[in-house]
Formats: sequence, structure tokens, C-alpha cells
Amino acid sequence: MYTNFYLKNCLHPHSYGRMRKLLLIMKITTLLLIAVILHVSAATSLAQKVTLNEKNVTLIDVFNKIRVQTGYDFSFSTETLENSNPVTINVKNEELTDVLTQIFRGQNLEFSLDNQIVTVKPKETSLLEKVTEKIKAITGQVMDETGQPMSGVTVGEKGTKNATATDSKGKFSLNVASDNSVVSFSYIGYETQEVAAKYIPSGSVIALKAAENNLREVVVNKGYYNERQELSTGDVGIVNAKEIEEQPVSDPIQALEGRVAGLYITQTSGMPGSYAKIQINGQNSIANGNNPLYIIDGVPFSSTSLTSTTLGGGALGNTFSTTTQNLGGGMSPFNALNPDDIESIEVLKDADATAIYGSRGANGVILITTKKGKAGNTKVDVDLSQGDGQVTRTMDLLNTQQYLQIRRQAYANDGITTIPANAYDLNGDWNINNNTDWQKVLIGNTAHYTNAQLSVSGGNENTQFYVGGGFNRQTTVFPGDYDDAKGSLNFSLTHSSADKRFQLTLSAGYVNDNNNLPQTDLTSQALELAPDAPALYNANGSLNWQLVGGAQTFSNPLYATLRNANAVTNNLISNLQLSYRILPGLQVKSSFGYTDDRMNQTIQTPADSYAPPNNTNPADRSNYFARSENTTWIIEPQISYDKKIAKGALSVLVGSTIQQNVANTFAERTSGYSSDVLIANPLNASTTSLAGYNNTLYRYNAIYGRIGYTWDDEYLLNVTARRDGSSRFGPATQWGNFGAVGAGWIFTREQTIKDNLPWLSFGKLRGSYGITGNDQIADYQYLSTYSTNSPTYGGETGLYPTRIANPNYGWEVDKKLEGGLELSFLNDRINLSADYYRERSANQLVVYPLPLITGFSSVEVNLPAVVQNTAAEFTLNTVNIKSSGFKWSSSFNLTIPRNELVSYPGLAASTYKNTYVIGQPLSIRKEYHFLGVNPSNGIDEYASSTGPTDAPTSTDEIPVFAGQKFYGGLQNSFQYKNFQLDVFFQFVKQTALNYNYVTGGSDVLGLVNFNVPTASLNYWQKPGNIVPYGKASTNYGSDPYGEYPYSDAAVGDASYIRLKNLALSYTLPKSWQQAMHLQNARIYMQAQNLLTFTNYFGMDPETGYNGLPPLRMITFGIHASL
Amino acid sequence: MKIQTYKKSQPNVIKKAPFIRYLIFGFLLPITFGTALGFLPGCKKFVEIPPPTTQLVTASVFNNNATASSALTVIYAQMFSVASYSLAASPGLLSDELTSYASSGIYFQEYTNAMLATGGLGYGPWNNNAYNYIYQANAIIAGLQSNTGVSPAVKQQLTGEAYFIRAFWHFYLTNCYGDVPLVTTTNYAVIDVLPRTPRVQVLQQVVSDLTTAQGMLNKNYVDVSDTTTTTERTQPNKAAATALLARAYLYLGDYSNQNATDYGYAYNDANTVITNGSYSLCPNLSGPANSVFLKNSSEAIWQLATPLPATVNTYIGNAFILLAAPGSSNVTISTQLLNAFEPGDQRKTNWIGSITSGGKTYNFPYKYKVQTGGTTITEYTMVMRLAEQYLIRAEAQAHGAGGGIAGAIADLNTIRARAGLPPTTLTTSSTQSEVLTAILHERQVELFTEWGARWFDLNRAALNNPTGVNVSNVMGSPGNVCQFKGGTWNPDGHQMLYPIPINEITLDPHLTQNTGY
Repeated sequence: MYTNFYLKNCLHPHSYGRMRKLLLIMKITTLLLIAVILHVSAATSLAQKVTLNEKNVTLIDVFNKIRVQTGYDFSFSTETLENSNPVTINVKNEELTDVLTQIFRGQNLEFSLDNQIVTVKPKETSLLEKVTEKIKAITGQVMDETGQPMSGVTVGEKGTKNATATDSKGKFSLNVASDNSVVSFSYIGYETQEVAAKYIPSGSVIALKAAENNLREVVVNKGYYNERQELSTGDVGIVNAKEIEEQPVSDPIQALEGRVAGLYITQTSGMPGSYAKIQINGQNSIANGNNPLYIIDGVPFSSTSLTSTTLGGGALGNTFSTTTQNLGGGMSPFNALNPDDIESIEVLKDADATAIYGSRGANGVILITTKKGKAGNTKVDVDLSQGDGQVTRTMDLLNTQQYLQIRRQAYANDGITTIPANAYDLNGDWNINNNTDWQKVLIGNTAHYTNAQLSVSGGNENTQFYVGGGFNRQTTVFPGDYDDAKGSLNFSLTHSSADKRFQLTLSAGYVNDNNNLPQTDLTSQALELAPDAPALYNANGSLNWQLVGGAQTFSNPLYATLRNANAVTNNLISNLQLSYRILPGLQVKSSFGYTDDRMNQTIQTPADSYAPPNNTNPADRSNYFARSENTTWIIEPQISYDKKIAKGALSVLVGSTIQQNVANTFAERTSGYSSDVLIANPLNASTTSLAGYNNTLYRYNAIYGRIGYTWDDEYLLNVTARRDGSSRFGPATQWGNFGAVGAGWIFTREQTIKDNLPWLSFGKLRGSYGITGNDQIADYQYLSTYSTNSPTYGGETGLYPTRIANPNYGWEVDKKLEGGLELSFLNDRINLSADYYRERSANQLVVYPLPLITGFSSVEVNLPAVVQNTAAEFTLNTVNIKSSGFKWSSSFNLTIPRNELVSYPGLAASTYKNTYVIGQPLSIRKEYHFLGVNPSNGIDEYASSTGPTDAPTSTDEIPVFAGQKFYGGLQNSFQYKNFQLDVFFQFVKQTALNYNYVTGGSDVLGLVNFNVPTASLNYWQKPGNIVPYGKASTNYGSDPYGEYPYSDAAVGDASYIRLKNLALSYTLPKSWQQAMHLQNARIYMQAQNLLTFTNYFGMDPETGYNGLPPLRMITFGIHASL
Repeated sequence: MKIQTYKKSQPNVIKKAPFIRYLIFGFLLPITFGTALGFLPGCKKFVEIPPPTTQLVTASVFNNNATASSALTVIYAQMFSVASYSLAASPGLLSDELTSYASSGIYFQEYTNAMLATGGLGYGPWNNNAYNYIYQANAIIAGLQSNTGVSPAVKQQLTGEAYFIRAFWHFYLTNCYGDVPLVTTTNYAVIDVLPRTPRVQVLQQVVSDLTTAQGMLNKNYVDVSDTTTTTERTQPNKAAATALLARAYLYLGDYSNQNATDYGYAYNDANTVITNGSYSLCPNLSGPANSVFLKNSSEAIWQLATPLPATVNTYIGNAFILLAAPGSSNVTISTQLLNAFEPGDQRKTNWIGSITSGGKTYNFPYKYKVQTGGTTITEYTMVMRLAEQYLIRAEAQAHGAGGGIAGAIADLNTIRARAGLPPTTLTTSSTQSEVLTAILHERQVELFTEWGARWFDLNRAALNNPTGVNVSNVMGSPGNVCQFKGGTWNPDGHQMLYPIPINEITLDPHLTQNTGY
């Protein structure tokens, strides 16, 4: 039998009958004194733990204290206590039974516990008991939940120094004082078990449960080393597999949104495969990459999209725009990962955690760990889910009647009385009775989501394996057959020698992703197309162009659905880790990683997608091909040494990194196909031209080290350092030194604090300071190079200098200072972490403008410009209710960031003069201040130094904030019997560009075939009107200079609260599971982006004013383990 | 669930599993320690990566003949497209040569002599890559000096051409802007704080560079191999350096208070070119004999070949020749220039074209005859030609060098005869001022729209001939050219120079603006 010794089962009381008998006796003697006072209400089920610190007090005093703390009543006769000994006790948050055991030790009394009543009676000791008291020997074996023996588990007699540890088989033997001695089993990362010796028959198996919700016990992966959260001096956010799996997303990065303080993620589009922008602790770099460093199982993963920058990625785009909002950044490289293969994601934020990554750590580090096998019976996990998605938001647009009214008004305003021939929407060429909701037609379809995952894992003490396979497919809300389909295989093998000195872990993941989208996002057309625009199809099924005189009268938006952009990604990530323990505490280890990420793109444009007469023109048939490859290998050997010295624990680590990355891109344009059906094969093209070729090599080498020291689990010190060299810099500046010092003090280890603040179960002060670098610049920039000039001179191809050489620039230096306070209250039911950081990024690498006399207009240099990010971060985890049937816990995080350009020498002469202002955040936009519409003539007016004007100049621009004021997330988890409900809200307080940027206020009001939001109905019609929008005109707007999109009226509140995730699951009853021969079976419902609360004027506050919003995805699924 | 039991483990795993021992001692440990300890000193090498395959690093460019030559000839290809036309049109608009039809923008401001220091518009060669060409020339000089892969003959020719280019563009910069930064290095940290060098010193450096070039360049024309002689006159040779040197000395003479020594050198150098034997004026300008601007013309001292593939023969011909009434981007021959031709001047007949549109006749420079078409190249862009050398020699003689006034008259008559005109009415008793005025006039009608010659001539005349025909008298009010064009001529004469680009002054605080702007 496998005996569980979870605490609840330990509270077996003496028999109920015995207590009744005792009560009867007490009644008869009429000496009854029942110290029953009040029943304590709700808290009773909660507080079974006791904190006492008493010296030489009476038993009755102690009972009273316990009663107040627990709500348990005591039943005894005063006679019984007459001969009792005074009690001295010091316990903190210990189980009632344990405390009682301790109190009654040495008393000639015994107690029983039932129905919240503690009954005390004289001890009846047998001679035998007296004899065996001191020599109670217990033996057994400790295993984890999966049946894997656990070695090194501390087995101790509570209240004494008597302790031992389990051997490699998990076996132990210990002599304890008596049957009543409490034996505790403790191990890092597991819940401590305490069991009375009498319940441990010889050969028992004690199962330890992995710690759940005990955040301090969690072991944090800090890349090159692990640390218990409790003893960590750094700032690390963790998102675990459960939180990822509960979200029906195909890109794991999207699953992090709102989950970690200091981590800000913006999804750029609702299309599958779209890029998500990530920033940890704000924007540090003015001109270069702000991407974190990504490490998957020890292997760096490039966060650069493989989408061809020459050809673009169809609707996913290929570049961000600094002037507008979130244009796509190409296909997300993380779409080539399978979220279900991920065990945990750790977000390293401060210097303490990131400095060991040296010149790559400035923007934070994201560590992704994939799933590994566990020993035990072979386990098969199956997960199937399916669901539907639709856009979260649409805009209110004019109907045909409203639209045409504005159009007619516009002609009247322009003094045009005869409707011209090109006013198709008005002159009868289009049916003015049409009233189409184009959002419904173009982005109103249902996207389907399918996810199927199968994994087999298991192994024995020495060898464990995990094999997982998955399929994920998501379609779009566009008309037409578009989807992103992903097949994946993940594999891991762990082996250790019998003496555990040698260990091997091999893991590999392979993903094939096929992303098929139209060449353009249809959302902006859905918003702008006139509501009376013609039907999209002719009767024969071909695209309708509503020809008049043989010419098209509108651009049929479905042309885009005939132009496909397809990207097939193949991604291999593999890693081998070998380690060997030479001596106790001394270990050598080496990691070997290899990744190969490649993408093949085709962008096809058939002539069918053009209006006549071009729809038969071979020159208009084109197919663009692009191929990108990114290959990385990395070797990281290290030696570590751990040693306990007195009350201190020392960890020393030294290692090295050698890494090489090769990136290749190749792009080709072909056109001139004689038929649309021949378009797939470039051999059928009449024109083929090479559009792009690039090949870069990046090499990186480093030595790193760490010294960690903890004293008595109270004082913590962590020193990390790295010296690294990167080929992105010239020979003079390739090598740099980085490092950090972190320190912590667990002040709740102090007796004074324990004595005076018993409700404070844990308290830690920590701080760190360090230097990291940023090398996210293009390769080879330090070289002065020549490129080919294609025309020949005298038959010779020219070579001209492309770059003026500055071999002396180095990395941007980021100095991070952070302080944190971690507190746990009420026996760890409330955990609060508050952090404040200040990051100053200096030595900014920017394109520095040069006078033309140098021969060039700019050079890449380090400027002593400083960007500062500061933020207050709060994370609160609470267990609100915890009873046997119901558990409610919450997790909340909040970040209040502030970004500032502290200095920038020569800003006024730089290319950033119209973008940034010293003392302001980098996220500002320089805009005109919109004063309103002049009531007399309907023209937009702006503030200027000379008063209101309709033609402001650049000197009138003011900085307008367009960024985040605060953001965070709130997770609530409810567990009731077999039901589990997780509700996650994400919130952001921010300002951003809104839809006025598209309309330019009234700029497009009255233009042919340009619909506008209903808000525009509030436009200027006659002198005296005081309205937000100006005069309609069939020319480009009432604003003569088109300044409105560049005014502060185009920036507005984009704050939102989103019910980002809702996951409800029901675990089938044990009996059903057994009947079906399942170990663990549950059915679930998951919803993503279920509700959005916002006042944003535009499509979606996250994806921007006219991009495809994130999808509201609702899926149903089943998970079963065999 | 059943508890798994395990056999007692072997005390020493290494004995039991030799493959692990192999793995650890044969593989893991050597790599670990080898990397951490042994390999580290070599790691500096590891991150020093080879140059990219898609670009050429400067050092490798100057390590072989072909790429070094490519780095030089690319300058000529670049000059072909932008510089040639802008230096024909812009000074032509400033002076009395061309008429603009723009009502705003660069052409309008140049035409009305109303260039602004602010406003962001770029005027003249400073804004049209002149300093980029100088950078490239300096890079070639430095690159060839520090690398050994290029053969000595090629190295000599290329270095000579690079000095020539550096001199050529400094010459144009100083004539457009007055005092300009003199750039003889590629180090941006040195250059971006340079002050302006006085014009005379710039000209002296031009002379010095050209003298260096003269000593290095091949006496024959060479092709891109830089050693093989060719009939194409598209890479400067020794005579080209000598010809430019003649011009530079002439200007230097003017700007150093009529320095007789400089005029003497100008005479000598021009004389050397004229008597070289490789050059001759074509006999007349009508019919097939009008071959001055054809490729490899006998008069050509240096021409820019048309880079291939081409859509035009020359940018100048493409831009000047009108096929319809001029628009705001077109220019035509000014009334002043048209009226400057004497009756019977073949240059007016053959080098000026016209088109009638809407009852109005527009005249345009027609030295180049091909407007479009790049399939057959018949014309090259002329940079320097023999006729100018005659006029340089004449001018130097008017200043007392060589044969004096008589020699000057003889040279003038050579040019006039070729244009179908009778000999000049000047005699040996004519004053220097009269002769200089006659030469200025002859230059006006011979060299119009060629590389800003007219504008520079008018400016020089202000020094040589303060009371005669010079820039202030020609341009200045009342009733003169500037007013005719709709502008105002300031007596301070600041309009003689282009303004220094305002952005340059912002970026290089040591630069100052020309007075008056």
C-alpha cells in the first residue's frame, strides 16, 4: 500500500465514545469547569496554525492563547491540571497538533482532538510504553508524487536537533523519543510533511507533494544557476505551464501579456503569426534593439523576424513605423514555438539577474524551459480543444444615408452643383440603396481554432523521457481560406548514473509552421469603404469592379484575398547538457546547443486580382520568393562548487560561452506569367530578378562567474560578473566587463521581529546594482566598406564607400539599480513584493549626423545620451479562502513606469530633433495643439506663438505623451470541488494615436468612397456651429495644410481593461476516471480576450486605430492522462 | 500503486559504464577545461570575424588592381549623373546665361540671386556630393598608400587621378563658396571640426595637388586597367592635370592680386597643352564638322563617359534640350546671352537650339544634340576642352605673360576664326582692360553653360577689371541683369558666393556663414 501522510489524515482523534464517557464522569463529580467561551466564526476553518512564545506559564494560559488563535475549545477538569508542569514554548505558525504535542511532552497528561474541541485527561502510561519511549525507531522511504525516490530529504525530530537525510533510494532511519514525537520531512520545493512517529510503521512510504503556491519555495531558474525564490536577491517573474496552457494562443509570448510586472507586451494584430512587441523595464535604447535576450533551454533564440525585409510579409508587414502605430513587424519568430511544450518562462529583470548575461542583458532576459519527463509509470497526456474566434471590437460607422448626406453637403460647400462623373457613390453608378456593413463582410467572419497535443513521458530513477507532439491551427476572420497551421515535436531525455554523479539531458524541439494570409490586412478597407459600395462578386463569381466605361469605379477589397502571402517556417532547437560531480559540491557541466530556424516565403499576385484591363496582363502576374535562415550554435562549459561553511552556504560558479550565429537571406522577384495557374513555378516567369541577398556572421565569446553566499538563510549576497566579446564591435571595443552585486536580508529570521510581528511570516529586503550592455546593432557597422554601383564606367563596375568608418564604438551601457521588499503575512496567505528600479542607459549608440564635408551625412557613434527608466512595481499574491472544498486565490501585479530622455548632446542638430525632447519620455510625439474648429468658417485651428492659426509651423509643436502610465494584471483562481475557474484581467492606462489620425478630423470628410465613424456626424455645417470636426469638402478636407493628424487631437486615451483569459475546467470524478482507466481527466472551456472595456476611439487600443483587433477566442477541450 | 524497489546501486559507476567514463574524460572535461582555460587566450581571435561576403572592406578594395580602379572610376560615373548638370545649370542661372520658369524653389532663388542662408534648400556643389568625391579621392590616396597589392603603375595612375579629383572639387567649391574647408583626410573626427580655409590657400592646395597629379599621371589616356592606352579620353591624363593647372594658376593669379608669376605658370601650362599635339580644334562648327561635344572629340581633354546601361547620352543634353514649352524645372538661354553673339557666330547657329510653342520661341543650349536614347552613345560629357586653353593662354598673356597683348589677340582670333567670325578689332595698342573684356566676352559665347565658367569669370572680373565688365556691373542695378530677372543686387556683392549650407554650420561650429547671408 502506498500510504499518504498528508496532514489532514494525521488528525485522527481518540474515539468519540471515550470523550463522551469522560464528559459523563465530569458531570457526576460536579466539579465540571468548561472553559468554553465563544465559538469563533468563519476563521475557524482557516487558522489551525499556532504561534506561541511563552516561558514558564501555566497550561491554562497556554490553552487560552491557543483558543484565541484557533477557535478550538478546551475541555478539562481543574483537578487534572493541578500537577501539571509550567510550559515553555516557542513556535511559529505550526500545526495545532504539533504544538499540542510539544506542550504535553513531559506532562503527565494526554489530549485528544475532535470537532474543534481539545480534550485533556491524565495520561495512562503502560510500563511497556515507558520502556520503549526513548528508543522508538522509525524507518521508511520518501518519494515524490510520481513515485520517484527522493534523496537528500531532511528527516528530523521536531523540536530537537535529532535529524538525518534520506539516501539515494530515498530511505531513512531515525530514532526518536517516543511515539508522539513529530517527525518532519522537508525538501526544497516541496511541502514539508510532519507526522507523529506512531503513524510511521516500519517501511512506510512518505510522499512529498511539490510545493504549490508557496512562492518562496519555488526554485528560480536564473540561467546559469538556480536559486530558491526565498533566497534570491534578484527580480525574476515566472509564468508557469498552467498559465500558458490555459490560453488559446499559438504564440507563447502572447500568453505572457499582463502576467509579469515590468514586462510590457503589445500585440500588433489579431492575425495568427503576428508580431508582439516586448519590453522589459521600458525602452532603454534610442536607436537600437530593445528586445530582451531569449534563451530556450540554454540556447539563445533570435527574436528577429525571419520575414524578408526586402519583400515584406504580406499582411504581417515587415517593419515597425515610428510615426504611426503598430504596423506588423513581420511574422513573430515565437510563432515557431509550441506553447504546450513549455514548462515555464522566467523573466529576468534587474541587474542581479541579468548581469551574468553581460553585453546582451540590458533589455532583460527571457528564459524558456521546455517540459521534461519524470520518473514513474509511463504517462500519456492527451489534450484536445477546439473553438471559434471573432474580432473583439468594431467601430460605429456611417450608414449610407448619413454618408451620402455628408457627401452632398461637401459638394454644396465646394460650390459644385453638378455631381461629377467620378462621384460614383452619389451619381447613380453605384446603387445608393446599398447599405453594407463592410466590417461584417471583411473582418466579421469566424476564425476556427484547433489544438491537439499528445505527450508520453516517464522513466525510472535514472532515465526519464518526454515526447510531445502537437498540432495547432487557427484560421482568420477574413473572407477566404487563410490559416496558420503548426505541427510540432518535442523530445527530451534525461539520464543519470546510478550514483547520480553523471547526468545527461538531451532535448530537441522541431516545429513546422505554415502561415497563409492575404497580402494586406482588410481592416482599414472595412472601415473606409463607402457603405453603398457595390457588391463584391459578379453573378459568375468573379470579382466585381463596377465598371463604368470599361474602367473600375472602386477598388474591390477582395482583390487582396486573391493575393496570398505564404510563409513556411521550420525551426529546430536542440540542446545537450552533460554534467559530472567530481567531488561532493564540485561539479563540471557543459551545454551544447544548436538551433536552425528557416523560413520560405512566397507572395503571389495573380492577374485575376486586378481590375480590367490589367486582369489579363502577364506583367501583372508576379510571385516573390524569399528564403531566410538563422543558425546558431553555442557551447557553454562551467564548473560549480557548493559548500556549507558553518551557518553559511557558498556557491561558486565559473563558466564560458562560445557562440556563433549565421544569418542568410535571399529574395527573388518573378513576373510575367502567361496564366494565373502557372504562377507557382518560377520557371514559367518571363522576368526574374534577384531582389536581395545578405549573409551575416555573428560571434560571441565570454567568461562568466558567480559567487553566492547566504548566512544562516538570513543574509544573502550574490555577485555575478561577465567579460564578453562580440563581433558586432570593432577590434578595439570588442571586449567589455559587466557585473552586479545583489544583497538581501530576511529580517523575519531575527528573533525580535519574530517576537513582535508574529503575523509577519516572511520579510525580505533586497537590492542590487549592476552594469549590463546592449549589442543589438547591425553586424559589421564598425567596418568601412564599399558596395557595388551597378552602372559600369568604361566597362568596369564601380565600388563606392557605403559607410564612414568608426571602429571605436562600443555597446550601450545600462546601469540598473533596484530595491525590493518582499513580505508575507498571515502564514504566507498574503505575499507582497514591491520593487523600485532605476535604469540608466548611457553610451547610446546612435546615428550621429555629420557635416557633409566629411563626405557622409552620418556615422554610428556612442553618444553620452542618457535614457532613464524608473518604475514602481507591485506584485500581490493572496490566498483568500482555503477550505477543504473551496479555494480562492488571487494574483495582482501593477507597474508604474516612467521613461525620460535625461540628456542628448546635440539633439537639436540630430535626426531626432523632431522626435524627442530632453526631460520627456521617448514615447512622446511632437504635435500641434489643436484648438478646435473655427465656428465662422469650419477650419481647424492650432495654437501658435502668434495665436490661433490654421497653418502652424514646426516651432509650434509641443510634446504629447503617447505611452503607458501604468499597467498590470489581476488573476483570480477559484477551486471548488472538481471545478477550477481562472479569471485574468489585463489593464493598461495609456494614450496613443486614435482614429483621428486616419480621418485627419474632417480631412477626409466628404471625399468620394471614404466612410468615417459616426462621431464625424458632429461636423461643421454652417457659421456659428461649435463642433469638434470641421467642414466637409470633396477636396482634401477643411484643414488647408492637413495638420490635423499631426496634432494632439490624433492622440487620445487608449486605456483598457481586458478580460484577457477565462478558463473553466471540471475534473471528472475519480470513479469515472477509474471506469475509463484514466488518471486525470478534465474538460474545460477557455476564452481569450473575452471582454474589453475602453473609451478608445479607434479599432482596438492595443493593436491600434485601424489594425485587425485581437480575436475573442472561445474554445472547449478535454485533457486526459492515461 | 506499487512502490518500485531498486537494486542496490553499484558503488562505482565508472567501472560499470565505460562509455560514461569515455564521455567524461574524453569529451566533457577536455572541452570544459580546454575552453575555459586553454582556449580563452585564443578567443580574442574567435570574435574577430572575417569581413562580410556581401560588401568589400576598404582594405581589400585597395589590395588589387581591379577593385582599386573600380573605387576610382565610380566617381566619374557619379559625377556624370548629378554634378555635370547642376554645375551647368546653377551658376548659369545665377549669372546672365539662363532663364528659369520656376516661381519658387532652388531654381527660382538662384535665378533671382535670392539664395537664402536658411530654409533648408541646398545650392551648389557642397550640396551635390562634392565633398563625397573628395572623401573618395582621399580614401583612394590613403588606401593605396597603406596597401601593397596594387601594381606600381596602377597605383601611380590611380593616385594621380585621386589627387586630380581632389583638386578638381576643391577648385569648384572655392569658386562657389569662397573660403571652404580644405579636406585632405578621411578621418571624420578631424574633418567635422574644420574651419574654412581662405580661398587663395585652397587654390594653392589645388595647384599643389595638380602638380602632384601631373607627376604621376600617364601621358597617354588609359582605360580602366589604368595602364593600357586607349582612344577614350575618359580618365584624366597628364595633359588634363596640366590643363586644370593652367586654369587654377589663372584664378590664383586673379585672387592673389594679379600675381604675375601665377599668370606665367598659367601661360606655360596652357601652352603645354595646346602644343602637346594630341589636341586640335575642329575646323568649323557647321554640319558634320561640329564634333566638339562628340565622344573622343579631338578637342576633348577630359570627358565623362556615359555609364552603361544608359537611358541618355548625357544628362546635360537630356535636361537642356526642350521638346515642348519649358516648365518650372526647365531652363532656357537668356536674352542677354542670346544678344551677346555677334552676327554670323556659328556658335549661335550650331550650339543654340530653339522650339516654338504657343507662338513663343524658346532657345536652349544645344551643344549636346541627343536628348534621349541610351542605346547608341555618340556624345560624352565634356569637362575640359582645348578651346578653353586658348582662352586661358590669351588671358595669361593679357596679364603680361608669354607674348603679351599680341599673343592674347592671336589666341582670341584662333577661337573666333573657328566660330566663323572675323579677327578681333583689338590691336597691340589696345589696353589690358580692353583685351580682358574681349576675352571675357569670348569666353561667354564659347564656354556658355559649361561648368559655371561664366559665373566664375564675372566674379574674377570684379578683381581684374573693377570698372569694366564684371559681376557687379553686369548683375547690379539699375536696369541690369539681376533686376531684369526680378531680383535685387546688393552692392555688398555677397550674392557672388553661394551661402554656406546652414546645416553644415550647425554640425560644424567652426564654420561661418558668408557675410551678407
